[in-house]
Amino acid sequence: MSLESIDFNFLIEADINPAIIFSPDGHIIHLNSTAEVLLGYTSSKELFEIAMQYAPQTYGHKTTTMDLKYNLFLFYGITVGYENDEYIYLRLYHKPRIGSNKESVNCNTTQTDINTLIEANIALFQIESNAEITLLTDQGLPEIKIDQNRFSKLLNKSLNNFKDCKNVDISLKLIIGEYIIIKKEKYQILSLEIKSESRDSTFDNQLESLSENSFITISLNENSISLEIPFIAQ
Amino acid sequence: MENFNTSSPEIIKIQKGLRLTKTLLVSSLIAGEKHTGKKTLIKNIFPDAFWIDARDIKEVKRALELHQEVVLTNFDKSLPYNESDFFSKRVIAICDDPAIVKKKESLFSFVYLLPSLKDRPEDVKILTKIFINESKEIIGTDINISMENLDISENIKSLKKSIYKKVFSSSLDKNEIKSILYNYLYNVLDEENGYRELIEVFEEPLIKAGLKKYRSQLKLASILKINRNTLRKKIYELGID
Repeated sequence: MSLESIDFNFLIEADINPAIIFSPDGHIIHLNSTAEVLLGYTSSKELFEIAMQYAPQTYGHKTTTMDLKYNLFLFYGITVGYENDEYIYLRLYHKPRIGSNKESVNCNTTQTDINTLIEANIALFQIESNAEITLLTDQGLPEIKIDQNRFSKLLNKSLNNFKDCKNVDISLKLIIGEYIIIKKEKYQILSLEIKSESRDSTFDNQLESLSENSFITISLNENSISLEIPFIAQ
Repeated sequence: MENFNTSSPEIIKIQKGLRLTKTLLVSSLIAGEKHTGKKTLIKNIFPDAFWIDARDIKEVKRALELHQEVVLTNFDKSLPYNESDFFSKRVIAICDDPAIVKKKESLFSFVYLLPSLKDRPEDVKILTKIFINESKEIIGTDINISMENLDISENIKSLKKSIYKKVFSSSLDKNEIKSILYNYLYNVLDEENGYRELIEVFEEPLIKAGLKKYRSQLKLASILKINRNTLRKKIYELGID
Protein backbone atom coordinates (compact mmCIF):
# COMPACT_ATOMS: atom_id res chain seq x y z
CA MET A 1 0.00 0.00 0.00
CA SER A 2 1.38 3.41 -0.93
CA LEU A 3 1.15 6.39 1.35
CA GLU A 4 -0.86 8.24 -1.31
CA SER A 5 -3.70 5.75 -0.89
CA ILE A 6 -4.14 6.66 2.80
CA ASP A 7 -6.79 9.29 3.48
CA PHE A 8 -5.02 11.56 5.97
CA ASN A 9 -7.91 13.99 5.81
CA PHE A 10 -10.16 11.31 7.26
CA LEU A 11 -7.72 10.72 10.13
CA ILE A 12 -7.68 14.39 11.02
CA GLU A 13 -11.46 14.59 10.76
CA ALA A 14 -11.92 11.56 13.05
CA ASP A 15 -9.40 12.81 15.63
CA ILE A 16 -10.93 13.72 18.97
CA ASN A 17 -8.25 16.42 19.40
CA PRO A 18 -9.11 19.72 17.72
CA ALA A 19 -7.03 20.57 14.65
CA ILE A 20 -7.22 23.87 12.77
CA ILE A 21 -5.37 25.21 9.75
CA PHE A 22 -5.13 29.01 9.57
CA SER A 23 -4.16 31.32 6.70
CA PRO A 24 -1.35 33.82 7.57
CA ASP A 25 -4.00 36.50 8.30
CA GLY A 26 -5.87 34.26 10.79
CA HIS A 27 -8.69 32.97 8.61
CA ILE A 28 -9.61 29.35 9.07
CA ILE A 29 -8.77 27.27 6.01
CA HIS A 30 -9.75 23.93 7.48
CA LEU A 31 -10.85 22.47 10.82
CA ASN A 32 -12.00 19.10 12.05
CA SER A 33 -15.35 18.48 13.77
CA THR A 34 -13.92 18.62 17.32
CA ALA A 35 -12.45 22.03 16.53
CA GLU A 36 -15.89 23.14 15.32
CA VAL A 37 -17.34 22.29 18.75
CA LEU A 38 -14.41 24.00 20.49
CA LEU A 39 -15.16 27.19 18.54
CA GLY A 40 -18.49 27.26 20.34
CA TYR A 41 -16.54 28.14 23.48
CA THR A 42 -13.69 30.32 22.21
CA SER A 43 -12.94 32.47 19.20
CA SER A 44 -10.81 31.64 16.19
CA LYS A 45 -8.93 34.89 16.91
CA GLU A 46 -7.84 33.64 20.34
CA LEU A 47 -6.71 30.30 18.95
CA PHE A 48 -4.83 31.99 16.12
CA GLU A 49 -3.05 34.23 18.62
CA ILE A 50 -1.98 31.16 20.61
CA ALA A 51 -0.75 29.54 17.41
CA MET A 52 1.31 32.65 16.56
CA GLN A 53 2.71 32.91 20.05
CA TYR A 54 3.89 29.29 20.20
CA ALA A 55 4.87 28.79 16.57
CA PRO A 56 8.42 27.51 15.87
CA GLN A 57 10.94 30.15 14.84
CA THR A 58 11.47 28.50 11.50
CA TYR A 59 9.64 25.98 9.28
CA GLY A 60 8.68 22.82 11.14
CA HIS A 61 6.55 22.16 14.16
CA LYS A 62 6.79 22.74 17.88
CA THR A 63 4.91 21.09 20.74
CA THR A 64 4.41 23.02 23.93
CA THR A 65 2.98 21.70 27.18
CA MET A 66 0.50 24.10 28.71
CA ASP A 67 -2.85 24.05 30.46
CA LEU A 68 -5.71 25.50 28.47
CA LYS A 69 -9.35 25.55 29.51
CA TYR A 70 -12.36 26.46 27.41
CA ASN A 71 -15.52 25.63 29.32
CA LEU A 72 -15.43 21.82 29.65
CA PHE A 73 -12.52 21.43 27.25
CA LEU A 74 -9.24 20.93 29.07
CA PHE A 75 -5.99 20.67 27.13
CA TYR A 76 -2.50 19.79 28.31
CA GLY A 77 -0.56 20.90 25.24
CA ILE A 78 -0.51 22.15 21.67
CA THR A 79 1.45 21.59 18.49
CA VAL A 80 1.93 24.47 16.07
CA GLY A 81 3.56 23.94 12.68
CA TYR A 82 4.06 25.41 9.23
CA GLU A 83 5.94 24.21 6.15
CA ASN A 84 5.48 27.33 4.03
CA ASP A 85 4.04 30.81 4.33
CA GLU A 86 0.60 29.74 3.11
CA TYR A 87 -0.79 28.20 6.27
CA ILE A 88 -0.11 27.43 9.93
CA TYR A 89 -1.73 24.60 11.81
CA LEU A 90 -2.68 24.20 15.45
CA ARG A 91 -3.50 21.01 17.22
CA LEU A 92 -4.66 20.88 20.85
CA TYR A 93 -4.31 17.79 23.04
CA HIS A 94 -7.12 16.81 25.39
CA LYS A 95 -6.19 16.28 29.00
CA PRO A 96 -7.00 12.69 29.92
CA ARG A 97 -9.92 12.39 32.32
CA ILE A 98 -9.67 10.07 35.24
CA GLY A 99 -12.02 7.16 34.78
CA SER A 100 -14.46 6.47 37.57
CA ASN A 101 -16.37 3.43 38.68
CA LYS A 102 -19.70 4.98 37.92
CA GLU A 103 -22.69 2.71 38.08
CA SER A 104 -24.80 1.95 35.07
CA VAL A 105 -26.63 4.94 33.70
CA ASN A 106 -29.99 3.47 34.68
CA CYS A 107 -28.94 2.72 38.25
CA ASN A 108 -30.41 5.21 40.74
CA THR A 109 -32.10 7.22 38.03
CA THR A 110 -35.79 7.98 37.81
CA GLN A 111 -37.93 9.56 35.15
CA THR A 112 -37.93 13.25 36.01
CA ASP A 113 -39.39 16.54 34.96
CA ILE A 114 -36.10 18.42 35.05
CA ASN A 115 -37.87 21.79 35.20
CA THR A 116 -39.73 20.86 38.40
CA LEU A 117 -36.51 19.59 39.93
CA ILE A 118 -34.74 22.86 39.09
CA GLU A 119 -37.69 24.90 40.45
CA ALA A 120 -37.58 22.97 43.74
CA ASN A 121 -33.86 23.68 44.08
CA ILE A 122 -34.37 27.35 43.27
CA ALA A 123 -37.11 27.54 45.92
CA LEU A 124 -34.70 26.08 48.49
CA PHE A 125 -31.99 28.55 47.43
CA GLN A 126 -34.39 31.48 47.77
CA ILE A 127 -35.01 30.70 51.45
CA GLU A 128 -31.52 31.93 52.25
CA SER A 129 -30.76 34.23 49.36
CA ASN A 130 -32.34 37.45 48.20
CA ALA A 131 -30.85 37.17 44.74
CA GLU A 132 -33.14 38.03 41.85
CA ILE A 133 -33.34 34.92 39.70
CA THR A 134 -33.91 34.77 35.99
CA LEU A 135 -34.66 31.30 34.69
CA LEU A 136 -34.53 30.61 30.99
CA THR A 137 -35.67 27.13 30.12
CA ASP A 138 -37.72 25.09 27.70
CA GLN A 139 -40.89 24.01 29.50
CA GLY A 140 -41.56 21.55 26.72
CA LEU A 141 -38.55 19.38 27.49
CA PRO A 142 -39.52 15.73 27.84
CA GLU A 143 -38.82 13.89 31.08
CA ILE A 144 -35.30 12.56 31.48
CA LYS A 145 -33.72 9.87 33.61
CA ILE A 146 -31.67 11.35 36.38
CA ASP A 147 -30.61 10.61 39.96
CA GLN A 148 -32.78 13.29 41.55
CA ASN A 149 -31.03 13.26 44.91
CA ARG A 150 -27.49 13.54 43.60
CA PHE A 151 -28.43 16.11 41.00
CA SER A 152 -30.19 18.19 43.66
CA LYS A 153 -27.20 18.05 46.00
CA LEU A 154 -24.96 19.20 43.15
CA LEU A 155 -27.36 21.95 42.09
CA ASN A 156 -27.94 23.12 45.70
CA LYS A 157 -24.24 23.46 46.32
CA SER A 158 -23.73 25.14 42.95
CA LEU A 159 -26.48 27.68 43.64
CA ASN A 160 -25.02 28.38 47.07
CA ASN A 161 -21.94 29.76 45.30
CA PHE A 162 -24.16 32.69 44.31
CA LYS A 163 -25.96 33.21 47.63
CA ASP A 164 -24.78 36.78 48.11
CA CYS A 165 -25.23 37.91 44.51
CA LYS A 166 -27.84 40.46 43.45
CA ASN A 167 -28.88 38.72 40.25
CA VAL A 168 -28.47 35.13 39.16
CA ASP A 169 -29.19 33.97 35.61
CA ILE A 170 -30.00 30.30 35.15
CA SER A 171 -30.44 28.78 31.73
CA LEU A 172 -31.21 25.25 30.66
CA LYS A 173 -30.78 24.29 27.04
CA LEU A 174 -30.28 21.28 24.87
CA ILE A 175 -26.93 21.46 23.09
CA ILE A 176 -27.16 20.75 19.41
CA GLY A 177 -24.39 18.75 17.78
CA GLU A 178 -22.61 17.60 20.94
CA TYR A 179 -22.96 14.24 22.57
CA ILE A 180 -21.77 12.35 25.59
CA ILE A 181 -20.98 8.65 25.37
CA ILE A 182 -21.82 6.59 28.45
CA LYS A 183 -21.32 2.84 28.43
CA LYS A 184 -21.14 2.90 24.62
CA GLU A 185 -24.49 4.75 24.38
CA LYS A 186 -24.56 8.19 22.79
CA TYR A 187 -26.69 10.86 24.50
CA GLN A 188 -27.45 14.47 23.74
CA ILE A 189 -26.41 17.01 26.39
CA LEU A 190 -28.55 19.35 28.48
CA SER A 191 -26.54 22.31 29.61
CA LEU A 192 -27.50 24.12 32.81
CA GLU A 193 -25.63 27.36 33.34
CA ILE A 194 -25.72 29.47 36.50
CA LYS A 195 -24.19 32.88 36.03
CA SER A 196 -23.78 36.05 38.05
CA GLU A 197 -21.46 38.97 38.71
CA SER A 198 -19.25 36.88 41.01
CA ARG A 199 -18.98 33.41 42.53
CA ASP A 200 -17.86 32.03 45.88
CA SER A 201 -15.42 29.25 45.01
CA THR A 202 -14.81 28.04 48.59
CA PHE A 203 -16.56 24.72 48.05
CA ASP A 204 -15.24 23.86 44.58
CA ASN A 205 -13.69 20.61 45.82
CA GLN A 206 -17.04 19.44 47.18
CA LEU A 207 -18.72 20.31 43.89
CA GLU A 208 -16.12 18.40 41.92
CA SER A 209 -16.47 15.36 44.12
CA LEU A 210 -20.30 15.45 43.87
CA SER A 211 -20.06 15.62 40.09
CA GLU A 212 -17.57 12.72 40.02
CA ASN A 213 -20.25 10.52 41.53
CA SER A 214 -22.70 11.25 38.77
CA PHE A 215 -22.72 11.43 35.01
CA ILE A 216 -22.90 15.18 35.21
CA THR A 217 -19.85 17.15 34.15
CA ILE A 218 -19.23 20.36 36.04
CA SER A 219 -17.31 23.33 34.78
CA LEU A 220 -16.33 25.90 37.41
CA ASN A 221 -15.62 29.30 35.95
CA GLU A 222 -14.92 32.70 37.49
CA ASN A 223 -18.51 33.94 37.44
CA SER A 224 -20.42 30.89 36.36
CA ILE A 225 -20.96 27.17 36.78
CA SER A 226 -22.02 24.86 33.98
CA LEU A 227 -23.51 21.45 34.47
CA GLU A 228 -23.64 19.16 31.47
CA ILE A 229 -26.35 16.57 31.98
CA PRO A 230 -26.77 13.55 29.71
CA PHE A 231 -30.19 13.70 28.06
CA ILE A 232 -31.39 10.19 28.78
CA ALA A 233 -35.00 10.15 27.72
CA GLN A 234 -35.80 6.44 28.13
CA MET B 1 -55.92 17.78 55.20
CA GLU B 2 -54.54 19.52 58.28
CA ASN B 3 -54.39 23.30 58.03
CA PHE B 4 -51.09 25.05 58.49
CA ASN B 5 -51.70 28.69 59.31
CA THR B 6 -48.81 31.03 58.65
CA SER B 7 -47.94 34.43 57.29
CA SER B 8 -44.24 34.17 58.10
CA PRO B 9 -42.33 34.93 54.86
CA GLU B 10 -39.74 32.29 55.70
CA ILE B 11 -42.31 29.55 56.29
CA ILE B 12 -44.14 30.50 53.10
CA LYS B 13 -40.88 29.99 51.19
CA ILE B 14 -40.39 26.59 52.86
CA GLN B 15 -43.98 25.59 52.00
CA LYS B 16 -43.40 26.55 48.39
CA GLY B 17 -40.18 24.54 48.20
CA LEU B 18 -41.70 21.47 49.86
CA ARG B 19 -44.75 21.55 47.58
CA LEU B 20 -42.45 21.42 44.57
CA THR B 21 -40.94 18.16 45.86
CA LYS B 22 -44.39 16.52 45.95
CA THR B 23 -43.88 14.97 42.55
CA LEU B 24 -40.17 14.26 42.98
CA LEU B 25 -38.45 11.27 44.52
CA VAL B 26 -36.05 13.16 46.75
CA SER B 27 -35.11 13.10 50.40
CA SER B 28 -35.85 16.16 52.53
CA LEU B 29 -34.90 17.01 56.09
CA ILE B 30 -37.10 19.35 58.10
CA ALA B 31 -35.39 20.59 61.22
CA GLY B 32 -36.44 22.98 63.93
CA GLU B 33 -37.05 23.22 67.66
CA LYS B 34 -39.83 21.11 69.15
CA HIS B 35 -43.42 22.31 68.55
CA THR B 36 -42.57 24.68 65.70
CA GLY B 37 -45.16 23.07 63.41
CA LYS B 38 -43.00 20.61 61.46
CA LYS B 39 -45.49 17.75 61.67
CA THR B 40 -48.51 19.90 60.82
CA LEU B 41 -46.65 21.34 57.84
CA ILE B 42 -45.80 17.86 56.55
CA LYS B 43 -49.35 16.56 57.11
CA ASN B 44 -50.64 19.55 55.17
CA ILE B 45 -48.37 18.99 52.17
CA PHE B 46 -48.05 15.19 52.22
CA PRO B 47 -51.42 14.02 53.63
CA ASP B 48 -51.04 10.45 52.37
CA ALA B 49 -47.48 9.80 53.54
CA PHE B 50 -46.66 6.81 55.71
CA TRP B 51 -45.27 7.83 59.13
CA ILE B 52 -42.70 5.84 61.08
CA ASP B 53 -40.22 6.35 63.93
CA ALA B 54 -36.70 6.58 62.43
CA ARG B 55 -35.19 4.87 65.48
CA ASP B 56 -36.55 1.49 64.33
CA ILE B 57 -34.26 0.96 61.35
CA LYS B 58 -35.60 -2.51 60.56
CA GLU B 59 -39.19 -1.27 60.35
CA VAL B 60 -38.12 1.81 58.42
CA LYS B 61 -36.43 -0.35 55.78
CA ARG B 62 -39.60 -2.43 55.51
CA ALA B 63 -41.71 0.72 55.20
CA LEU B 64 -39.43 2.04 52.48
CA GLU B 65 -39.94 -1.17 50.52
CA LEU B 66 -43.71 -0.89 50.80
CA HIS B 67 -44.30 2.85 50.50
CA GLN B 68 -43.04 5.50 48.14
CA GLU B 69 -43.67 8.44 50.47
CA VAL B 70 -42.40 8.04 54.00
CA VAL B 71 -42.10 10.47 56.91
CA LEU B 72 -39.40 9.60 59.45
CA THR B 73 -39.92 11.04 62.91
CA ASN B 74 -37.21 11.37 65.58
CA PHE B 75 -34.50 11.43 62.95
CA ASP B 76 -32.17 13.28 65.34
CA LYS B 77 -32.29 10.28 67.68
CA SER B 78 -31.84 7.61 65.01
CA LEU B 79 -28.81 5.55 64.07
CA PRO B 80 -27.03 6.41 60.81
CA TYR B 81 -28.72 5.67 57.50
CA ASN B 82 -27.08 5.33 54.09
CA GLU B 83 -27.77 7.50 51.08
CA SER B 84 -28.87 4.37 49.19
CA ASP B 85 -31.63 3.66 51.75
CA PHE B 86 -33.58 6.61 50.42
CA PHE B 87 -33.05 6.00 46.73
CA SER B 88 -36.11 6.42 44.54
CA LYS B 89 -38.33 7.34 47.50
CA ARG B 90 -39.88 10.53 48.76
CA VAL B 91 -38.47 10.64 52.26
CA ILE B 92 -39.24 13.46 54.66
CA ALA B 93 -37.26 13.26 57.89
CA ILE B 94 -38.07 15.29 60.98
CA CYS B 95 -35.32 16.51 63.26
CA ASP B 96 -36.13 18.29 66.56
CA ASP B 97 -32.55 19.30 67.22
CA PRO B 98 -31.33 21.95 64.76
CA ALA B 99 -27.84 21.69 66.25
CA ILE B 100 -27.22 18.28 64.67
CA VAL B 101 -28.43 19.14 61.18
CA LYS B 102 -24.85 19.50 59.93
CA LYS B 103 -24.15 15.87 60.86
CA LYS B 104 -27.21 14.55 59.05
CA GLU B 105 -27.58 16.87 56.07
CA SER B 106 -25.29 14.96 53.66
CA LEU B 107 -28.04 12.32 53.34
CA PHE B 108 -30.57 14.81 52.08
CA SER B 109 -30.98 16.85 48.93
CA PHE B 110 -33.31 19.35 50.56
CA VAL B 111 -32.76 20.70 54.07
CA TYR B 112 -35.29 23.12 55.57
CA LEU B 113 -34.85 24.88 58.91
CA LEU B 114 -38.11 25.95 60.51
CA PRO B 115 -37.62 29.09 62.61
CA SER B 116 -38.90 29.00 66.17
CA LEU B 117 -41.98 31.02 67.14
CA LYS B 118 -39.97 33.88 68.65
CA ASP B 119 -38.68 34.62 65.14
CA ARG B 120 -42.18 34.44 63.64
CA PRO B 121 -44.16 37.32 65.21
CA GLU B 122 -46.72 37.12 62.37
CA ASP B 123 -47.46 33.52 63.29
CA VAL B 124 -47.74 34.30 67.02
CA LYS B 125 -50.58 36.72 66.13
CA ILE B 126 -52.36 34.20 63.89
CA LEU B 127 -52.01 31.30 66.32
CA THR B 128 -53.08 33.42 69.30
CA LYS B 129 -56.30 34.33 67.51
CA ILE B 130 -56.94 30.71 66.56
CA PHE B 131 -56.27 29.38 70.07
CA ILE B 132 -58.41 32.07 71.72
CA ASN B 133 -61.38 31.26 69.49
CA GLU B 134 -60.81 27.53 69.91
CA SER B 135 -60.55 27.72 73.71
CA LYS B 136 -63.56 30.09 74.00
CA GLU B 137 -65.63 27.65 72.00
CA ILE B 138 -64.57 24.65 74.09
CA ILE B 139 -65.01 26.45 77.42
CA GLY B 140 -68.15 28.22 76.26
CA THR B 141 -67.25 31.80 77.08
CA ASP B 142 -67.10 35.09 75.23
CA ILE B 143 -64.95 36.95 77.73
CA ASN B 144 -62.17 39.30 76.53
CA ILE B 145 -58.72 38.42 77.79
CA SER B 146 -55.46 40.34 77.76
CA MET B 147 -52.76 39.07 75.43
CA GLU B 148 -49.90 40.01 77.74
CA ASN B 149 -47.34 37.49 79.00
CA LEU B 150 -48.03 34.77 76.46
CA ASP B 151 -45.54 31.96 76.82
CA ILE B 152 -43.70 30.98 73.62
CA SER B 153 -40.70 29.37 75.34
CA GLU B 154 -41.84 25.98 74.03
CA ASN B 155 -43.20 27.40 70.78
CA ILE B 156 -46.76 26.42 69.79
CA LYS B 157 -47.23 24.03 72.73
CA SER B 158 -46.60 26.63 75.44
CA LEU B 159 -48.47 29.34 73.52
CA LYS B 160 -51.57 27.16 73.30
CA LYS B 161 -51.28 26.15 76.95
CA SER B 162 -50.93 29.73 78.16
CA ILE B 163 -53.93 30.90 76.11
CA TYR B 164 -56.15 28.05 77.28
CA LYS B 165 -55.17 28.75 80.89
CA LYS B 166 -55.93 32.47 80.49
CA VAL B 167 -59.30 31.88 78.85
CA PHE B 168 -60.22 29.22 81.38
CA SER B 169 -59.21 31.25 84.43
CA SER B 170 -60.94 34.40 83.12
CA SER B 171 -64.20 32.57 82.55
CA LEU B 172 -64.56 31.15 86.08
CA ASP B 173 -67.41 32.36 88.26
CA LYS B 174 -67.34 32.76 92.05
CA ASN B 175 -68.56 29.24 92.76
CA GLU B 176 -66.06 27.68 90.38
CA ILE B 177 -63.22 29.64 92.00
CA LYS B 178 -64.46 28.53 95.40
CA SER B 179 -64.55 24.96 94.20
CA ILE B 180 -60.98 25.18 92.84
CA LEU B 181 -59.82 26.76 96.09
CA TYR B 182 -61.56 24.06 98.05
CA ASN B 183 -59.73 21.31 96.16
CA TYR B 184 -56.43 23.12 96.45
CA LEU B 185 -56.76 23.82 100.19
CA TYR B 186 -57.91 20.30 100.82
CA ASN B 187 -54.72 18.97 99.26
CA VAL B 188 -52.21 21.35 100.86
CA LEU B 189 -53.67 21.98 104.29
CA ASP B 190 -51.42 20.46 107.01
CA GLU B 191 -49.33 21.43 110.04
CA GLU B 192 -46.87 23.39 107.95
CA ASN B 193 -49.52 25.14 105.91
CA GLY B 194 -51.85 26.78 108.37
CA TYR B 195 -54.16 29.81 108.15
CA ARG B 196 -51.33 32.40 107.99
CA GLU B 197 -49.57 30.54 105.16
CA LEU B 198 -52.67 29.81 103.11
CA ILE B 199 -54.47 33.14 103.39
CA GLU B 200 -52.00 34.58 100.88
CA VAL B 201 -53.73 32.51 98.17
CA PHE B 202 -56.59 34.97 98.57
CA GLU B 203 -54.72 38.10 99.73
CA GLU B 204 -52.01 38.28 97.07
CA PRO B 205 -54.27 38.27 93.97
CA LEU B 206 -56.67 40.60 95.75
CA ILE B 207 -54.00 43.23 96.47
CA LYS B 208 -52.29 42.84 93.06
CA ALA B 209 -55.58 43.25 91.22
CA GLY B 210 -56.56 46.18 93.43
CA LEU B 211 -53.27 47.99 92.87
CA LYS B 212 -53.52 47.51 89.13
CA LYS B 213 -57.10 48.73 89.12
CA TYR B 214 -56.80 51.76 91.46
CA ARG B 215 -53.03 52.53 91.08
CA SER B 216 -52.85 53.95 94.60
CA GLN B 217 -52.43 52.28 97.98
CA LEU B 218 -54.49 55.04 99.63
CA LYS B 219 -57.41 54.52 97.26
CA LEU B 220 -57.17 50.73 97.54
CA ALA B 221 -57.11 50.88 101.36
CA SER B 222 -60.31 52.95 101.28
CA ILE B 223 -61.98 50.55 98.80
CA LEU B 224 -60.98 47.51 100.87
CA LYS B 225 -62.01 49.39 104.02
CA ILE B 226 -58.73 48.60 105.82
CA ASN B 227 -56.11 50.85 107.36
CA ARG B 228 -53.47 51.99 104.85
CA ASN B 229 -50.69 50.90 107.24
CA THR B 230 -52.21 47.43 107.34
CA LEU B 231 -52.25 47.41 103.51
CA ARG B 232 -48.64 48.62 103.34
CA LYS B 233 -47.63 45.86 105.79
CA LYS B 234 -49.44 43.21 103.72
CA ILE B 235 -47.75 44.45 100.51
CA TYR B 236 -44.36 44.21 102.23
CA GLU B 237 -45.03 40.71 103.66
CA LEU B 238 -46.26 39.37 100.34
CA GLY B 239 -43.31 40.89 98.45
CA ILE B 240 -45.53 42.74 95.99
CA ASP B 241 -43.73 45.41 93.88
